[in-house]
Amino acid sequence: MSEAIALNETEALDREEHSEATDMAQSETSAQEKNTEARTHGISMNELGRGRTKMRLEQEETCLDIRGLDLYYGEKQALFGINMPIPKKRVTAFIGPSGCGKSTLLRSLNRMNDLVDGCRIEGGIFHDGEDIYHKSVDVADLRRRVGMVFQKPNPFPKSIYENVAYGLRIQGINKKRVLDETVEWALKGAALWDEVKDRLHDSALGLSGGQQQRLVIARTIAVKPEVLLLDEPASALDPISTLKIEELINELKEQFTIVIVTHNMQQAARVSDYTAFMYMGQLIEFADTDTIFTNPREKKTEDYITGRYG
Amino acid sequence: MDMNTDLNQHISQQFNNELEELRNHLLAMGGAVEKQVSDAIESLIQADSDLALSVRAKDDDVNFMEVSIDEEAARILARRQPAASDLRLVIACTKASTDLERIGDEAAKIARFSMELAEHGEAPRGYIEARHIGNHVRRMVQDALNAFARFDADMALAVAQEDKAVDREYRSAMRELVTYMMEDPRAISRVLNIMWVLRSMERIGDHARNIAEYVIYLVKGTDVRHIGLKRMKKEVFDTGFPES
Repeated sequence: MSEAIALNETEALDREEHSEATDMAQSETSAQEKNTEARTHGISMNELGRGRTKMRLEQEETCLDIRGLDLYYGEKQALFGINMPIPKKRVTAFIGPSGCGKSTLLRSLNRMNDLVDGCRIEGGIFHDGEDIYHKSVDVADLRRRVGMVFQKPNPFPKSIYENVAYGLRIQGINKKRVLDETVEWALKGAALWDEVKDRLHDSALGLSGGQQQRLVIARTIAVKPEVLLLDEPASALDPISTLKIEELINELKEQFTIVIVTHNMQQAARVSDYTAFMYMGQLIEFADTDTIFTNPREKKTEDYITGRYG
Repeated sequence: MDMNTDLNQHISQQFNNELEELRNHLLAMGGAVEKQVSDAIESLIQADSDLALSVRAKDDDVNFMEVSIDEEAARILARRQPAASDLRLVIACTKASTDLERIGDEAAKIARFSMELAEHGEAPRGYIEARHIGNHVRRMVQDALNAFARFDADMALAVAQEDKAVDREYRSAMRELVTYMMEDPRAISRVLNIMWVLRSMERIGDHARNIAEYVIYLVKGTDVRHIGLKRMKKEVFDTGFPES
């Protein structure tokens, strides 16, 4: 018994010396933690990196707040009383079978549904406390702040450079230096710069599907939106391009709030922090991704993600 | 939510079969290990070195079962990417197979000492305790496996609680044997053999408790290792909701 204690002490000493060398302040806090937490093991579990902090919805800052949203296409109701906060600077995934309303919900976040005849909504979506469906909202401005990328890459039949600069030119920015800088930043942000930097003025249509999709993402982030909506962004791409897009999503979430719709559950599990499961126009369950994929609360969620009959 | 107890509902029939097979193999391994434990105890009580020899020989089969269960689990993980209760089933099976293999090792150890005792003289004391504790842990292994087969978290909790009783019995048997050795130092080496046997039995109880903990993880979705019986009980009875 006394041996074990002695071992613990030398270990603690080792660790303290080590952290002192790197950072004084850190060693103080870790020493404090050591005192408070009950030591059941010879080594501290936290320092093995196992105590990964769990994501909790309550602790997140809300970016978009969907409150009591009902959506109708003519007579038919497509969404039923959706209530959910979209957390800021996190990746939120919508999953569910075809026709469950996940794309509809995504589109309503930047009012793409306005273009559909006979579409009307009740309830509201609040962005920083402001209802985006209010009469006074400028839809073009809303879509600049809430950008969207579609399933099929849709580059304009222009050069790579002009594709990315397009949004800025619409805003009336024509200074070459500003455009150059932004195009480079956006292409780097979309992990495409190294592949296209020597042919910026070639047609965008000459790029591969995966490159086109990343170009479209670059075009979307060039106007610095706050929210990025991705509607099945990788469903038409090969596995390697898919991985690149997923990696990109992971990098982009430092700066943007990302909402992604995907049919591929493993993809949702890989990229998202929070996952919402929808079924028949209703939000069945919304929680952190780890919980949804290891221990969901609802039977319907469980059946869907494990591939059982509903 | 609580474990979906029906494995036969996947859209993919093949996936159903794979999970069902994995579980059946684990339970078969459990049956073999349980037999090993009861044979080892029997060989000790009856001083039957033939039986002890066969226990030691069969340990290889148990080891082989562990490897093949892990292979199967790895294949399912790679090919099916199971989620939720399916994922927990695969994890629980691989973890339980490790503990079952260890139980098999302990049974082989008991068999080794019972051969020793049968061939080089029986210990003057300790058989009653060994039979009692042995039967106790054998029942625990059996119950843990039944809990696994039926996805029964309450039964698993009972197994975990039993482990405390075994620990107590083990300690008091130890105390008695130490006292005996002080009185009669000539018997030390023989008494030591029976002490090793008791030690192995106590370890079997610990492994059975581990398996019970995996059952609770499988059924309830919460990891109840290292949190104490009181909190474990709370997790089992507080419906299926996750800790958060």
